[in-house]
Amino acid sequence: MTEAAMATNMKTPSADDNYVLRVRGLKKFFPIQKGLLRRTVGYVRAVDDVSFYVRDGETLGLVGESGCGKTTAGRSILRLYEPTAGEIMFKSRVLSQDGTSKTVNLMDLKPTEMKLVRQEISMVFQDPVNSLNPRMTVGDIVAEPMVIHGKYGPDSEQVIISLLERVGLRPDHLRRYPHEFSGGQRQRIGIARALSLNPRLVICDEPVSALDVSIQAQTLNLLEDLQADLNLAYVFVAHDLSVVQHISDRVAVMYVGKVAEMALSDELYNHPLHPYTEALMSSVPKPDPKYQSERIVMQGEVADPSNPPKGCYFNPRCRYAVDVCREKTPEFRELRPDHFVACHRAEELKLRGV
Amino acid sequence: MAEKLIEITDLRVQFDVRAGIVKAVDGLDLTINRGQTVGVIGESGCGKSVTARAILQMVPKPGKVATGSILYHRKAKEGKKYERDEVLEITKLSSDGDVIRQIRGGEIGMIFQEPMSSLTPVYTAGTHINEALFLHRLIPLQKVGDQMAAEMMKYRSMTKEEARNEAVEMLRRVGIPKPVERVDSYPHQLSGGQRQRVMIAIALSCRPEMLIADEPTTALDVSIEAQILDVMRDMQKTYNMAIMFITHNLGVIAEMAEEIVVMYMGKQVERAKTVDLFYNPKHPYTQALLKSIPHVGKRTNERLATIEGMVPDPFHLPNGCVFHPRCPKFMPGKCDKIAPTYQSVGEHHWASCLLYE
Ligand SMILES: Nc1ncnc2c1ncn2[C@@H]1O[C@H](COP(=O)(O)OP(=O)(O)OP(=O)(O)O)[C@@H](O)[C@H]1O
Ligand SMILES: Nc1ncnc2c1ncn2[C@@H]1O[C@H](COP(=O)(O)OP(=O)(O)OP(=O)(O)O)[C@@H](O)[C@H]1O
Ligand SMILES: [Mg+2]
Ligand SMILES: [Mg+2]
Repeated sequence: MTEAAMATNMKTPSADDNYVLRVRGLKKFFPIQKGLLRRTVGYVRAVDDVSFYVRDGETLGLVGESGCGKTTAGRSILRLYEPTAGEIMFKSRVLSQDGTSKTVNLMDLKPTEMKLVRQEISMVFQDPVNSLNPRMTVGDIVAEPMVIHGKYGPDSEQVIISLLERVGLRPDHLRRYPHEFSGGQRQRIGIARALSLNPRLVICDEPVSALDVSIQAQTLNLLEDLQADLNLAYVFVAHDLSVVQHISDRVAVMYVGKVAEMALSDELYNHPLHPYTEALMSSVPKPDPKYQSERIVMQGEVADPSNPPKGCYFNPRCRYAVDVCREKTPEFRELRPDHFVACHRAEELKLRGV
Repeated sequence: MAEKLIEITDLRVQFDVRAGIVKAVDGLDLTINRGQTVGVIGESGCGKSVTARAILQMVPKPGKVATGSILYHRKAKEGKKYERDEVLEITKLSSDGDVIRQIRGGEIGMIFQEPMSSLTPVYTAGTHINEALFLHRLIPLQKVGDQMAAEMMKYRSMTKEEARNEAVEMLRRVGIPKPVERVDSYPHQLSGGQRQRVMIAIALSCRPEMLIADEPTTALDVSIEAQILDVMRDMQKTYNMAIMFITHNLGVIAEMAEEIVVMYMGKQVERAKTVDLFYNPKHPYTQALLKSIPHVGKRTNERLATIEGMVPDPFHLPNGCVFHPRCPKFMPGKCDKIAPTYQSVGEHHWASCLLYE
């Protein structure tokens, strides 16, 4: 890999100090290997210079094309994948001796410290099937993080029962096995598990996509209650843009490994500055059979993250692209307060919101 | 004239587990016509996926079809590997016989929920290893394009080369970048949503008479979702394919379905044309469902409406109407005593609720 590819942009975004997580220039490249000797012939740039921040107690929605690197970004933050480059600043309580917050760069932590931090940052995994051990009962699955971190005590069973109830499962589910549950029920088991250690930040990778709308509503309300009670922050990955808007204070839109735009929810939905955001907003299916969609159909193919186009990665599909878009990578800049965008033409374009 | 394709009558599917019997599907009637899209919605665990599996004689153990019938009106077609018209009783077919295995994938295609598990081959009892693909599990260490081609050739008369070319074309249609190169990738090199799209491409390229789509687009972003829905509608028009569309996304169902069936605890509680169901829902459960969705456009700080209480314990079902403990329109002395019957409440509109009896 060339030096230039490795170099990352540490400047943006400029969030004040009021954050719980601040990611700058995060990169995760997967090597593409060929042949018997497993020679590296290239890289999949799954996360390619991503910067964002999450303020204390707020929800940042993360949306974008399937395969644009949302899961990889989440896993890299927890260092379940070793990031290729970047800075991941986190305000940790467990690492400070006196109960206050200590700002640490997760990239610099030793494995023992990282293990401690995983009590504070938990993850609800996208895949509710593979992330649940089929040989463990639901009770054991939810208890496992407590056991791993030596936090399982006499009251824990009661805590687990109340967690299960909060996510809409019954106490008698405790002794059942994951395969006895429907898809949506399994996802709620994963949510209960992620909350069992009272984390400070939860990375929720599509936590409600398998849920029916009433359980989804219950779960979203639950996440909001817990946030209010415990001052939790969430990174909330989802494809349902109405859900994302409902739960998120701010939303970041990713396209092929990069953040294209980040703003307050209402601002992003009503006044998008990036053409990809505009196209995305126009595709939201409306729960109204009489609604006539005015969908913007994007031309061409999704960029290949192992061979991205020159210039702005979105340019081959962008209906506003001009020469500069095909030449130069747009900078991710704060065009209005708290509204970041990576588009050369953001100032002049008048884009349509939802 | 509407031509019947699948006719389900009084279907009951039960799971015999340690604690008792779970009535996953409990007296379901459902007819799907050729070329028609029927949407199925309902709370998690109400039996949507189990119904879908029953149509393919693939109810997972320890479940079994207790009573009821599922008729499949089979019609001979050119380019397909069966020759005469007949009516098959699916519940009577051997679950690993030749007939059902020709139907699965070839005549009734299925896109399964839980795409992410496609890399872990978990073969449930009663199903065959060579049906791995159909079970929505891509085979590891085998090129995606080869798997697609093999599947197409199983059901359609075509050469390997034709199949490979069509695989590329299908991958392009479902929005996979660089399809010419991607046919040579292995499953683990794709993202969750890409694997899901490969499965959709496979299901569609077998040109089934009916497609059962169980949460087909949940893992996909809205623009790809819209594109996939377009492809499905296209294929539907060209091949007069019926679709049974199971989803929690009321936006998607509003766009796709002509008719919607609402299920609760293994029973259908309402059925109507899509517009009527959205604008004039009759059953209090349907009304509550429609209220609990967030609407895109304006962010409010309001909490979402939910349905009071929890889905009942399957071993201690409430008397009368199973929805009554949660129903905002509960009528004491009536709903907790009498089970409602499923009956007509308007033109082409049925519901089971004592309010209308
Ligand atoms: N282990 C891996 N090896 C090689 N490439 C990978 C690996 N995991 C992911 N990728 C690639 O990295 C890119 C990003 O994948 P990721 O799973 O993060 O996407 P995503 O945004 O979460 O998508 P989805 O919405 O479909 O879940 C994809 O192009 C994918 O093919
Ligand atoms: N293998 C099994 N053993 C025991 N019970 C099962 C099994 N599979 C399904 N069930 C039960 O059957 C019922 C119906 O399940 P099904 O998967 O059809 O629900 P669903 O409507 O598809 O839900 P979702 O929307 O969450 O996918 C559930 O209550 C579930 O617990
Ligand atoms: Mg993902
Ligand atoms: Mg299901």
